[in-house]
Amino acid sequence: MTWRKQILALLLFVLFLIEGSVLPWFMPQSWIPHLMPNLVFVCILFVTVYRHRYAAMALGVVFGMLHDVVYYGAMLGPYAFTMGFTAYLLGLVFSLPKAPLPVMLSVVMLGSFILDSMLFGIYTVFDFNEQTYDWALIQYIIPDLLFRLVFALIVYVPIRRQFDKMPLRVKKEDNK
Amino acid sequence: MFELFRMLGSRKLFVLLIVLVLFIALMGVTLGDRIGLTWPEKFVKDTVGYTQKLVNKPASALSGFFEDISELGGVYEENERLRIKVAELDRALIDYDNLKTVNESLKKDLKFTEKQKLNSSKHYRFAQVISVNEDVNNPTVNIDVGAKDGVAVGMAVTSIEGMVGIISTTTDYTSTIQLITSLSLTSPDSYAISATATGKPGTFGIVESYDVKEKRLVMTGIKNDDPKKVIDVNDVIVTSGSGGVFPAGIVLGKVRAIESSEFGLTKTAKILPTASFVEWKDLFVVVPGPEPAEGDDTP
Repeated sequence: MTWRKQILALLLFVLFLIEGSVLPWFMPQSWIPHLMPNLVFVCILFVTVYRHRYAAMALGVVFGMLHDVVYYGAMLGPYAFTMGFTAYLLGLVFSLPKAPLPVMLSVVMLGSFILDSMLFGIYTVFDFNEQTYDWALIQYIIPDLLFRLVFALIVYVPIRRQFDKMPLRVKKEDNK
Repeated sequence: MFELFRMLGSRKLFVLLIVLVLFIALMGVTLGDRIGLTWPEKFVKDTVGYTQKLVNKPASALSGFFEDISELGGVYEENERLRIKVAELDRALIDYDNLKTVNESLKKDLKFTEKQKLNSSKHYRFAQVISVNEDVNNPTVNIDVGAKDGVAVGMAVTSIEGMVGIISTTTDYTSTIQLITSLSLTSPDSYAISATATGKPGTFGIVESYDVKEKRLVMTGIKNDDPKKVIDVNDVIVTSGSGGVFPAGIVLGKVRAIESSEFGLTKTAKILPTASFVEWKDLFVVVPGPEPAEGDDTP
């Protein structure tokens, strides 16, 4: 039973590899400037809704840091902070182990929107972009949101099934 | 604010604020020019880079296969075209060899220093893309050659079409490219590329920013006073090699528009980059200095 957790972490790593090394070769070329397919983040949102916000926050920080280190160009930390923080915040509001599909999809939309907006804000504060927010909204925040929504729809059934099989130990964790 | 306090509890809010401060400090410390990476970063980059290489190889082969199938129809015409091109190249190569020997003997006569010789020659090192970061604000690409292969920070990287970016960090076996689409005047770690127009000696300008909305490189500081040295629309812009940061002769793009600069003294050119920035397969790292004897990596 406990192996599911390790498999989950491994699966997230595989998704991390896919989004950087496989997807860019198969996406239509006109999409590439408009999308950053952060598939790992979508799965972390599933964790925060169906499991626990602390687990999701830890995963968000670890995989965000991995992203920051591997694609280090400007600075370390934006992804680690935004992914961890967004997962925690959404877990605080929507921690429902029995959440139906519409709720989960709205969490993904909200999370994607918050993540991209926070990244935009951080890069603006450190002077890396000169664009206005409405330009960014049309150019990549909304396309991103739609792409992640479709990905969430595809993986909803298999992930939900796995989470339902996992024993929920909420009481034990809350008592501690 | 009180709502927030009640929701989080003051202790959690306190922790959150401390974490926020720590992350901002981390971002500030790692911002801008750093001298090398720390060893944990290198370790993570190398191991992840190795697995990415494993994943990427079948993926790029498969996508290449699909591309080949879709291009099957045009193969005959392309072959015809390429044959003519090869014949032309063979003729040009004889001229080139001749000019090269003359040039080298002239340099010897004029007593060029080693440094000057290094600046005027370059060779290409083939590199395969292993992963792409599609972040709009911070576009980077990882390639499979690193410090052990002689790649160093600050080298230019080109595709077959033209200049793509600049090596921003290296580890032993991988290196990261910062694309020229992230060149910016305000950005803390950005480069300025001295450029000139091909076939027009004496023209000069500096490429130091990229207009994201218009998708054009911006070349500033062009003095179009001398009627013999005028940069015009449709000129091909290449690096000039002056300043000694990038070797001469790397193609940047084609001029699409010339405008007066803000203060009216100089001109500003909008350049359409020749590199496409979407088709990532093979890139070439431009290594300054003459070709090493054993390898023949020229594209």
